Amino acid sequence: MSTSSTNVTLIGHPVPSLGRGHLVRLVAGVLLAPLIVGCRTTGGEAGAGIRVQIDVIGDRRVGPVGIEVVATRRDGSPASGATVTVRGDMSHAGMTPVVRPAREASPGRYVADDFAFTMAGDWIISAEGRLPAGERFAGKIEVRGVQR
Amino acid sequence: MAAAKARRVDLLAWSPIERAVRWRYARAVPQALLLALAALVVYDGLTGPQVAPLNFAGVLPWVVWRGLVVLSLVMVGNLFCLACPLPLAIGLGRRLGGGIAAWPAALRSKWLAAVVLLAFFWLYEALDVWASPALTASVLLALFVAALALGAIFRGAAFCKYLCPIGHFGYVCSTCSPFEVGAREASVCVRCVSKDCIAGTPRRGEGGVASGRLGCQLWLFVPAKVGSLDCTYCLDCVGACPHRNVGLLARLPGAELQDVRRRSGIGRLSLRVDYGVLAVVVAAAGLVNAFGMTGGYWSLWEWARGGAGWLPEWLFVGLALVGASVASGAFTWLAAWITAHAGQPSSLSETWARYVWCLAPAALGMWCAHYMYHFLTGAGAVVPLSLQFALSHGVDLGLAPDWSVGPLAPASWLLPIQGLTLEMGALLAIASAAGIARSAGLAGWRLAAGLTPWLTLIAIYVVLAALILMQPMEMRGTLAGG
Repeated sequence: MSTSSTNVTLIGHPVPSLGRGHLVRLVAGVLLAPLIVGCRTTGGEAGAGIRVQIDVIGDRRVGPVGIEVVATRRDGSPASGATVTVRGDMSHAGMTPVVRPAREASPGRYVADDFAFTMAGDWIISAEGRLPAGERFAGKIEVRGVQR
Repeated sequence: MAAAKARRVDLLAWSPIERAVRWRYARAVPQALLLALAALVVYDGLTGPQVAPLNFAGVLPWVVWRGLVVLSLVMVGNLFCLACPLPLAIGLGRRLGGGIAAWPAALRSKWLAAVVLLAFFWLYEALDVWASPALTASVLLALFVAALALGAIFRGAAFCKYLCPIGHFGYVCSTCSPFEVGAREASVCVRCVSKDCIAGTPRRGEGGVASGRLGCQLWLFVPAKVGSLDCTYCLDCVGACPHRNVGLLARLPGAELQDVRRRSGIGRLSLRVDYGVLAVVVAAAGLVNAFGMTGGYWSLWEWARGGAGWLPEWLFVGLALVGASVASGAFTWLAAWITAHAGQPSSLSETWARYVWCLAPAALGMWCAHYMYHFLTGAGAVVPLSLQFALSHGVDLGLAPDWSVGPLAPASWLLPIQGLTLEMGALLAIASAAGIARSAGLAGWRLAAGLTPWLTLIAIYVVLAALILMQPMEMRGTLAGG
């Protein structure tokens, strides 16, 4: 058993509107897209909110693995009591995603035991959670080179 | 001959369809629909989640559209070009810049198109465009900008005729399609004096015929048009013809590969090595493109990288594409040499330029097997993706996205369907090779000797294709960062 690398992202589900800002973003995106893609990193904290850490528990091979999601508030306390769903996508569109609920194994630590990599290749694991008060959090990691 | 033509099934013969097609805006409607979808791809690609399966830029072009393109090619013809929104950009460019310059004479061939097509496949693999919504959107925008720029400078559809990688993929594959745009009655064309099918109808037509319709922008003159090469199925000629003499006519798939006649806008295929190179690129890239999605590809890269010490993927995939194309060219040239020595009454290059087209059906079979895999495993994802997109934009349709509806067919059906597709392509390739040899007058032992190298190549191609399709999938792409 091994624990894979982690990544942290911050959440927020902004609702885009077709305003002037988006037009500028669109044009800038066209011009800068290659640069953005060429320089992208594997994530990082984006701002205030709930910090989400996702780990793959087990070997990165096709078959069952566990996915661990740790949600922590800014003050370091666990974000407990959330309903968490874990989703796995291949890097190529068109493959059926793996969507599993995660149980809270300990305060702020959620585990999807019955997750499985269904194909070799690159995966994107994302997790979304909703706290009893309605607060939402989410994060994702890239899992490269899942082996057969 | 006339009686035989009269019996051909014509998709436009049913008057409601013909009326719809002859409507002035018949092409603009599907173009507007695809333009809207392209705008959605660009918008979501640049502003939406950078996870291909969760973005229209990942799903619409690489899962849905590609599948529909090959399906339409197999079932009707090059219908994507009919609905392609890029000519709208060409038209806009013409309004802005005039579009009066002639395309440079030195570039009036398919050499540049073959290079662009190869570069397109390389870009797709090397940058893993399929895994990056932002890059997909950028590529799409680049195509629109290129179409607009060329429309502003050059007259006609120079972009479609000499550059568009998607169009040229369609041209090659549509040689195996069961329908072609053509004249219903040759005698009617003989009597015609206006030649509106190529000149266009900028005035009110006679007899209430639709007016203001363009003639063929790719310079294909219907009475002399043979087959579907370079035809975008835009149906401009249908709308322009004052005699209602242009139809969408049924034919034997691949039959045009055996046709030795001079083709309008092309000439004799046997004298067009550049067109043959285009077919080779489509065939070779069909193998490499599918191979890139398998574990074998990554094993080969790791092996090569270990041996060379340094080999980035962009270089590896470039070498694979160019190498496969050059190898295909070399092997087909060798086959042509053998055929020429078996009594083929033409030069080596003419022999090659004719027979190399027998690979086109096999290539279409491979592309179809590959793209149908993605289509059948994931096209249904458009439904939950649309719901998710609506939700993220504040529109709750009251339905929760159900991602399990992605597959359109059980997984156990996929390999048999792919095998069947490959088999159909192989059989058509064999029939085409035999037809080409017969049309050259080969018979008896000369026919057998001339055909053998081509049948061998077809067999090698299909076996390689089958081996690739049976490889375990291993899709790796440059992932978008969080």
